[in-house]
Amino acid sequence: MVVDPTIIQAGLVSAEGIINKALSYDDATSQKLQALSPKVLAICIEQPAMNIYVRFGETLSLMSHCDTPADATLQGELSAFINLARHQDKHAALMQSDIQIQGSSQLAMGLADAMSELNIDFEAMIAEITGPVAAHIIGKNLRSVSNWFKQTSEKFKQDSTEYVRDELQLAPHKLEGESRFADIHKLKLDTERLEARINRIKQRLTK
Amino acid sequence: MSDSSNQSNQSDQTTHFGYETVNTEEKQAKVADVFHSVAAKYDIMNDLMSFGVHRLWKRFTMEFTGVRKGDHVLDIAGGTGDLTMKFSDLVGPEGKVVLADINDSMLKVGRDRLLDKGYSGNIEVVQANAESLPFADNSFNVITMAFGLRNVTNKDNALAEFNRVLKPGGRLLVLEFSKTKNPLLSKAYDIYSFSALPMMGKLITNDAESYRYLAESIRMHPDQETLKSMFQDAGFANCEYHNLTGGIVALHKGIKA
Repeated sequence: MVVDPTIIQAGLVSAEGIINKALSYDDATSQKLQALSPKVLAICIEQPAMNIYVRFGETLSLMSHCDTPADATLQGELSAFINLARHQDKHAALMQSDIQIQGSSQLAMGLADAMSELNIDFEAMIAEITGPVAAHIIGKNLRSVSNWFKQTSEKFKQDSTEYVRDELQLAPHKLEGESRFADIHKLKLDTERLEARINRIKQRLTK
Repeated sequence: MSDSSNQSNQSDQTTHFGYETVNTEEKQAKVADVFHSVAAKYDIMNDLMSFGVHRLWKRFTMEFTGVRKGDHVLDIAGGTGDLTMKFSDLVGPEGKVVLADINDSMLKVGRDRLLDKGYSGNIEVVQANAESLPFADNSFNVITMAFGLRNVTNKDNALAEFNRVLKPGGRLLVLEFSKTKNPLLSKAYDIYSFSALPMMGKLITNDAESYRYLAESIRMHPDQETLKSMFQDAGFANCEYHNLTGGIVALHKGIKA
């Protein structure tokens, strides 16, 4: 599937605006990324086929085409990049992912580290509109609401797992599952050994 | 003189102004009138007519320029200076950007806009005809022409001039309306350009005719492959084009050999 360049440009303009706006509220990360100037990182997505180039400078520039060779290239499927974006520790996630790194791995890891440490000062963002006092009160309330949602979602996840496993008995316990998989693995090895023996006996009989 | 040569001479002296056939001298004056009329509200009309998408087309063009610090860039038919501002940032104080346009009304709007936005120093504003550029041979690293070529009377002359003033290895980028091969899109585009555009022109600039000319001139402009072969005939190498928005617009690129 080939995506029209206009649609790609629309996506890049929006993403570039959001990223640069977010970076303007995190000086530490912004400075780390500026230190990577004038390097270029290529992100090659396989499905749908799309190349995105990130040029580091005073602000981040996102491009769909770049004449200069990229200093580092990240190549993988879209799902792998989405998965990477969702992880808090992007350095570890990048190492464990199916994304291939070519060129300067230092640049790719530097970007992963900087994005992991991204800490946007939302209160400063609100303060631009409301002033510092109101921003502090709004920020405090937003933080407590956010914490409530976080705790509730974790508790819901834990309770629903226990309900499905223990009450409904629809899913096995982790240890039971592991034990079953170990048995299956052992059975697979035994079958392969048996197959090898049968083949050896067949070869002897045909001689 | 034979009949056939008479006919040939006659056709040499005429050209298209939208769907009209006019004398070559007349076209330049008629195009000038169109742009004198729309200059003041050119930017707002561009945003309205293209729903802001012209900014994305120009952004795509910028990606292919490969402009670096210290480069000399010619933004011909640069109008209100959209690309000139971006080039000015990229070439830095050691580079130079020439904003050129044949139409003084457009140029005045562009010059004022640049000054209002704080752009000066590495920018020159020049009134110039693309068919006879007032620049020395091998002067520029990059030439861009966004939505200007279809208004040029003799496109081959203009392309030859671009080739002359480009440095060897320099690149020409022409962003222009083109032909879509999608029948549905083509139908919708026809309805939009011949009904909605003149109406918008009437409402905003009180000039429906200029926007009717815009729609007609787009239809009379060469398609992607024809323009590519014109690039090659003018002496450009590595010629290629990229369709945008289903081919409604195309970006042509050529390198001076």
